Amino acid sequence: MILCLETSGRFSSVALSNGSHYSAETENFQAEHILSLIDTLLKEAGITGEALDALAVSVGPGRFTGLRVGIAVAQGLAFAWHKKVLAIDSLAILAQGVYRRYGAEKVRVAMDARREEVYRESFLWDGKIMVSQQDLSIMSIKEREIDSEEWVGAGSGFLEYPGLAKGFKTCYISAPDRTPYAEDMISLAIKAYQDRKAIEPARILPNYLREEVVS
Amino acid sequence: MRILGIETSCDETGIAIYDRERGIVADTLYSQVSVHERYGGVVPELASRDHIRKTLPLIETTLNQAGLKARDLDGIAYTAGPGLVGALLVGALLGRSLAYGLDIPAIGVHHMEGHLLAALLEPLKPTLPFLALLVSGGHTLLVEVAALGVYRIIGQSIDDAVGEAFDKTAKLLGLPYPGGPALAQLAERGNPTRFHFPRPMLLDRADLDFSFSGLKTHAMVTYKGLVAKGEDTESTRADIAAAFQAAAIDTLVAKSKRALAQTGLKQLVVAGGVSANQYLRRTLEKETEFETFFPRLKYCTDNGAMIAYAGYLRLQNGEHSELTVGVKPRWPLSELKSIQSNLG
Ligand SMILES: Nc1ncnc2c1ncn2[C@@H]1O[C@H](COP(=O)(O)OP(=O)(O)O)[C@@H](O)[C@H]1O
Repeated sequence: MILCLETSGRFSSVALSNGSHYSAETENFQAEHILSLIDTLLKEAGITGEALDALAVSVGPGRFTGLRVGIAVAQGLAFAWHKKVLAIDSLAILAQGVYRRYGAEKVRVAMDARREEVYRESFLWDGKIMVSQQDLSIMSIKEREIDSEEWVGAGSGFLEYPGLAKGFKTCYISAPDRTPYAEDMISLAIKAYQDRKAIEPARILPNYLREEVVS
Repeated sequence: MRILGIETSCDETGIAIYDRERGIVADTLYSQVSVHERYGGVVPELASRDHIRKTLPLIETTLNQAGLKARDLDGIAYTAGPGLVGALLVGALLGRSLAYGLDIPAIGVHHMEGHLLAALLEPLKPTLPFLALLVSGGHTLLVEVAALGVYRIIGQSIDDAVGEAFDKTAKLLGLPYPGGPALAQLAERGNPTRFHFPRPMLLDRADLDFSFSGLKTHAMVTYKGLVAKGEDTESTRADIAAAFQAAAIDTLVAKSKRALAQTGLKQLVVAGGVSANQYLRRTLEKETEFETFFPRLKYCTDNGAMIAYAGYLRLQNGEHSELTVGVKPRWPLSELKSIQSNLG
C-alpha cells in the first residue's frame, strides 16, 4: 500500500493506493490540514503507517511553499516509519486527472508559473499511465507550442494566458483541470514503485524549476 | 524523557536533543550565512529552500551524535513562531509529522521564549522571578518573568531592533554580512570616545522603551561627513563602530537597570543574538547591584537546544499541539500560558 500526498496546488489531498482519498481546500500556504487528512485516511483503511510499502509525494513544479509542506510531511512520516519515498511530477498528476475525466490520451499541461511564464510538459497515455515526453520546462507565454492541433491542453496556464490555447484541439481549464489531486497519483506511484524509484526520505527535494528567486 | 528540538524560524537550521536527566545530549547547527551573504540580508525563499534540504539530514546527524534512534524520543518541539512563515512551516511540518509517525506528542514553541529559557540550561541559573532582556535581530524586549510562561513586556523597541541596528550600521561601514558580530569586532579596535553618539530615549526617566533608528542615522551622517572630508580610514570606521556600540549597549544597560529598579528584581537574564556581544557582557559583569545571567555563546544566537528545552518544559506542563499545524509569523510573547513546573 502506498500513501500519496499532494500539496502543490490549491488543495491538499491525500490518497491510498487502494483508491480511497480525501482533499481539503487550503488558503494560500495553509496546508495545515494535511496530517488530519492522513490520519482519517489511515484509520478508515484500518492500516498503520508501518504497514505501508512506501509514500509518494508531489515534488512539483508548483507553489514553492506547498511543495515544501508536502515534502516535509512525507519526510517526517517516512523517517518515523522507516519507509522510502517516491517523487511524483505534479504535471503528470494533472495529466492523469485529465485522462480520468475525459479519456484524453495526448495531453499538454501548462501550469501558471506567474511572471508571464508557465511550467509545461507533454504526456502520452501508454495504456496504464500518462507518460512524460521528457520535455518538462518553464516557458515564456510569448512562445508557442508546436503541433498543438494534435494535443489537448490542460491547466491554469491556459486560463491565465488564453493566447497559449491558440491552435489546441481543446483546452481544459475548469477548477479540477487546474489542480493535481492525490487520487491521480496512485497509478503513477505504483509504476514508480515497481520501477524501484523509491528513495530515502532525506533525498526527496522539491523540483522548483525556477532557480532565481531574489526579489 | 527525551525531546528533539527543531529551529527553522530564520536563517539557521538548529537541531538538538534535551534529556531530562542529562541536559542537552546532542546539538547541531547549520548556518545559511553563505547563502544570504551576497544579498546582504536573509532572502526568505532561499532560507526555506535550505531548511528543506538540511532539516532531516541534521535530525539524523543529531540522533547519531546522541547514539539514539528516532523511537527513543518522547516528544518533538518545533519553533512555531515568530519568524519567516515559509521557513517556520518546514520545521513545523517535519517535526509534527515525525511526532505523528512515532506516535509521540509534539509542541510548537515560541522562538523568543526559547531564547529566554536558554539561560536556564546553564549550571548557574537564575531563580524566579527575574527580568529578561531579549535582544536579537528582530526583537528588543524587557520582560518581567514572574513565573515560567508568565511574561509581561515592560519595554520594547519602537522602531528597529538592536540587532537590526547593528546589522544596518555594519552594512553602512562596508562590513560583510551578517554585520552585527563584524561590527562588534571592529568596535573592539576603535576608540569609543572620539565620537559621541546620542543615547536614545534615556531622558525620560520612567520610560523603558527603546529606539535605535536615530542612532543608526547618526552613524550614517557621521560616516558620510568623514568620507566627504577624505577621512574614510580603517581607524575612523573602527571609532564609529565603537561609538555606535557604546551608545547602543549603554542604552540597553541603562534601561535594564531602570527596569530592575522599577520592578525591584535583582536578577537579569540577557539572551538572543546580541547577548553574544562582549562589550555588553563586560559592562554587565561589572554591576554589583544585581546578578546577570547569559546563555553560553552558542545558545545566544538561534539554536535547536533552546527549542528542545522550552518544548520539554511545555510538554511536561501537559501541553501539546494538535494534528492541524499552525505557524505564527507574529506571536506576542505575552500570549503564552504559564508553566506549572519547578526549574530543573
Ligand atoms: N557580538 C554581537 N554583537 C552585536 N550583535 C550581534 C552579535 N552577535 C550577533 N548579533 C546580532 O544578533 C542578531 C541575530 O540574533 P538571533 O537571535 O540569532 O536571530 P533572530 O533575530 O532570528 O532571533 C543579528 O542581528 C546579529 O547581528
